[in-house]
Amino acid sequence: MASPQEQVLLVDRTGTRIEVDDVVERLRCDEARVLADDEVGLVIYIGDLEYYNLTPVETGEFLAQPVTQISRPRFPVKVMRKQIGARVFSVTEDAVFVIREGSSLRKVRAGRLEPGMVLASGEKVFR
Amino acid sequence: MNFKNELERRCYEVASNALGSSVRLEHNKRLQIESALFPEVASFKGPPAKEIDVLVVDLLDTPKITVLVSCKEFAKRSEPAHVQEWGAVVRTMNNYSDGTLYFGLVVSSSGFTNGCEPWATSHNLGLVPPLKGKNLAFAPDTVLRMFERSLTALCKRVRLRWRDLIEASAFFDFIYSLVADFEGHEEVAQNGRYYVLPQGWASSFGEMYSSLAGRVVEDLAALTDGRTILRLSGGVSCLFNGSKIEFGSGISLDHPVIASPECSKNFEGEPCTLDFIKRVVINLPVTSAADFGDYVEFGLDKRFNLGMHGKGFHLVSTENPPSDNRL
Repeated sequence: MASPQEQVLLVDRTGTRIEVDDVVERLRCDEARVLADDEVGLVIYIGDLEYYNLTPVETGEFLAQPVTQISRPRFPVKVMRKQIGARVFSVTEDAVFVIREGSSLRKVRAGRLEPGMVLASGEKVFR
Repeated sequence: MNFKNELERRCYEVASNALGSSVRLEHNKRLQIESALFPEVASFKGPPAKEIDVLVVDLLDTPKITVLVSCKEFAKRSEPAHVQEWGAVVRTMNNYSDGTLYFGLVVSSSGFTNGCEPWATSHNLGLVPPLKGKNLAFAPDTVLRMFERSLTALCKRVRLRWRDLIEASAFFDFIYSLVADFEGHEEVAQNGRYYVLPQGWASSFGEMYSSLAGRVVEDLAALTDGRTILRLSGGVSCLFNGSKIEFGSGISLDHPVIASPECSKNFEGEPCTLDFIKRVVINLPVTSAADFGDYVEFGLDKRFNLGMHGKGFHLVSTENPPSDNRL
């Protein structure tokens, strides 16, 4: 959905890298886990497997966040490169960000994210 | 059964087809308090006098988990007040329930205004269709398909784990993750050129090539209904009728074949027979593909290009020099 598949850094509880493709192939026959497998894409529940997605932070370290499901849309939208704070990464065009606008917050898609905007988290958009 | 609006009727049908008898519709339902042993309701003489129209979907019996669906059919997009109201309903039901866990879902045929999402996230309500930072309009059938996908997935999800969905905005996020990808699908479906069989789902050139690449040609034929078919190993076939490309497995064709379809060879388009083309291409693997609009061309063994037209085939050698590699 928001992150292209090649950008997902999946690790297990020991920190060992897990290939998303391998997980999908292994679990897609497990009917109880497959929440959806249709014309839109595949969604697999992995919340009990203790897998974590690593997100780089400004200090150069990685933030590990538990992953509950893997989505494989059949028609992902266009991918673009963005720099937000010190982090440069790829996102799909329909990824949604929340930005500060005066005293309020507004949602914008990655395609409309412009340099100079400041996210709700305080990070600045550079490109 | 009476329905308040067309959306409610179709949502009921969709939910019933997906989940069976656990779906019911209640009109002018008074909010029922299952337990009166709370200080907040000590002064109540009965349940709150609020009346609601609700589509109720029971997902799990132990513990009892129920989804309360509000179907909004308006000419304009639904506003924050509609989401707020449903948030209050679901919160009241949860506050005074006797063990039942309620989730709230709002389905709006015309979508939602931007202000709805903060209320939905803070009240942990699912929104169908999603808000994606841009005013996206989805067709009514797509909204119902989103609803069906959400309910089916939710039913499976609560059987695996449900506690993590209680805290806001986990349920909202879960529903969003199931309906957000419809945008890409809708864009492709509008083109209506590629279809994967036997499901009949809208597809793309990339998916078609991934399905056919590496398979060897087993047979080809032109049918009397204006389609040509390329049969490949592994029971996979590709059908082309001049505007639509269908591919996949499990294709059985009842239409008779044309004995002498329009076939040509070489870049000059010299007439040839289908048997001649078959003698060259059978057992060669598909190594590339190109869609030229009125015909589709497959590279075979990196040596030949086989073109599929609505009424026949063409075959050219791609080896150089062309003059020495004429067929």
